[in-house]
Amino acid sequence: MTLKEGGEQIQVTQENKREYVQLSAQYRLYSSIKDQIENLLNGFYEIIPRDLITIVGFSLFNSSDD
Amino acid sequence: MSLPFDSFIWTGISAPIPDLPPPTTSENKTPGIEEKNLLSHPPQVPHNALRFIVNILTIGECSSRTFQQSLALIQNLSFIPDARDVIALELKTKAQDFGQILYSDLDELAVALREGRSQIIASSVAAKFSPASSTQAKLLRVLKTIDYMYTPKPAPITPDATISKEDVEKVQAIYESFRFTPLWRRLGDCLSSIGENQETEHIATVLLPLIESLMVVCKFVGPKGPVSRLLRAGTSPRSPTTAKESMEELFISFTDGHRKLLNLMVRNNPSLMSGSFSLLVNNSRVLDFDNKRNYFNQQLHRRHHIREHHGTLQLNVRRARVFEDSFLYLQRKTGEQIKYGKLSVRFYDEEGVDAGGLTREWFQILARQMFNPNYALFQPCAADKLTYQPNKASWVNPEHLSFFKFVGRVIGKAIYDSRLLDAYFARSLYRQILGKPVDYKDVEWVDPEYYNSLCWILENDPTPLDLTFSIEADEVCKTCFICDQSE
Repeated sequence: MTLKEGGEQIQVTQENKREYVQLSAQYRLYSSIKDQIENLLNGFYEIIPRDLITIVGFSLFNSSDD
Repeated sequence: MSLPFDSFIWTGISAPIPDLPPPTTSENKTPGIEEKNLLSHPPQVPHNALRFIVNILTIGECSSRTFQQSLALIQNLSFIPDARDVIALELKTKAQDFGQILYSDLDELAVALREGRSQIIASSVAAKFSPASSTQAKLLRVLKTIDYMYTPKPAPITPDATISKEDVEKVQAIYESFRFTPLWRRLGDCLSSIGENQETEHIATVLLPLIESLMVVCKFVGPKGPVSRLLRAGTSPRSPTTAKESMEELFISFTDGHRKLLNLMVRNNPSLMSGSFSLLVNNSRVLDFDNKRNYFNQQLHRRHHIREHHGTLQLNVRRARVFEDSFLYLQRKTGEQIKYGKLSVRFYDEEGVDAGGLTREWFQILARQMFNPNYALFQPCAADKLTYQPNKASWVNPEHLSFFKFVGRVIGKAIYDSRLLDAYFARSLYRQILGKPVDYKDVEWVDPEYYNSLCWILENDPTPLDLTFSIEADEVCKTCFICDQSE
């Protein structure tokens, strides 16, 4: 499983480690469960329009901050 | 009071002009022969007669009915070649005159506010800003008319009635030609002084027409205002700003600077958000939570009449299998049906009519059962075991993707119907719902061990670890649902 094209050939170094961390997080939180999340989102957006949700932000879900 | 505009507008017109049908109905039918003839031989209306129309809006006060009728009249006349441009030019001239007057009025008010001369403030407010015939009210009417003239009217038959690029440019050019920047700056000064003193806060409401005028003029500021500004600042800070960019700048700095007063006004009068103040969502960070939420609910329920067509969602479910039974029932429904339909729940083999209480119970039970480990859909987050994250190995449940869609619909329905859904998810999932990018710090909540290793990499030189941009296969399986089955 590669994090980006040709990833198995690319060493993680001081220079590119931020990208590696970002891509790993992306993988852990999204790509590895992409189908599950996308289906959940599709169901959700059938009821609540996507453009409207971005206006209210996290507060809609009673989360602490914006 | 309604002005006898019929008589004075048509004075001096040689040929009588038959009434054009109102624009909304004319687009619903194919043009008749009469209408075709009319459009190929448009009536001649002298330009000065056209210019008179603007007087209706600017001579005195103007009731909302008169205003509506004048807009319809202008709309109808706009079918005549040149008529729209002539009227627009006249409106533009008037707007500029009003801008001049308002500038000195505001100047006076600003000085009085700064020096705290309450008598001058009171008289200036009463005489110059409050009446329906005040200059600021006239300016707003004129600007709204320009806006109306260049905004396509909703016509159910032609869904592609988007505003033409040419019209956008025309109306933008008009707004830019005003050179109102000093006026808005003065308005800003006044609002700043007003905001400093709680006793004068009510004056802000008096200046509402001017604030609304500013919103009308800023209409074409995109929702990405602050972002594009930041990008510009990053690349070439000295780049010459276009008129549109300075408009953006104005809008952002005005809404940022007067955030407190603007929120107060919206709170006192939420319907502002369905009018010109709706532009505030383009800089939504200035809106307080309650105002955001009100706007959200207002917009969400805008098409409430649709509910009637979708009737009731009659759910008959077994208490122990609420999740499955509801899934099977709602799977056959469209998103629209679920959104607008009224939920009515009956528990199998139980008495009781759903007067709201059973629906509440239904949401409660769903919020528990959707996390049942036997469905393998979610796994609790390591941090608290109370918030949940989709399970990577949910595929062991063959219908898992349909179930996820169902869960998404249930969350949405709870929000739409203002019901409590006592289910909480990982912050990263909310982030995805909101369309925001992933933040590596959110990993901590879901998988602290993994997060620690990411932090180690950030704090140290990862070169000796010999890592590549890839993930080991067994790492993929490490966090599978079997771990949760043990709970």
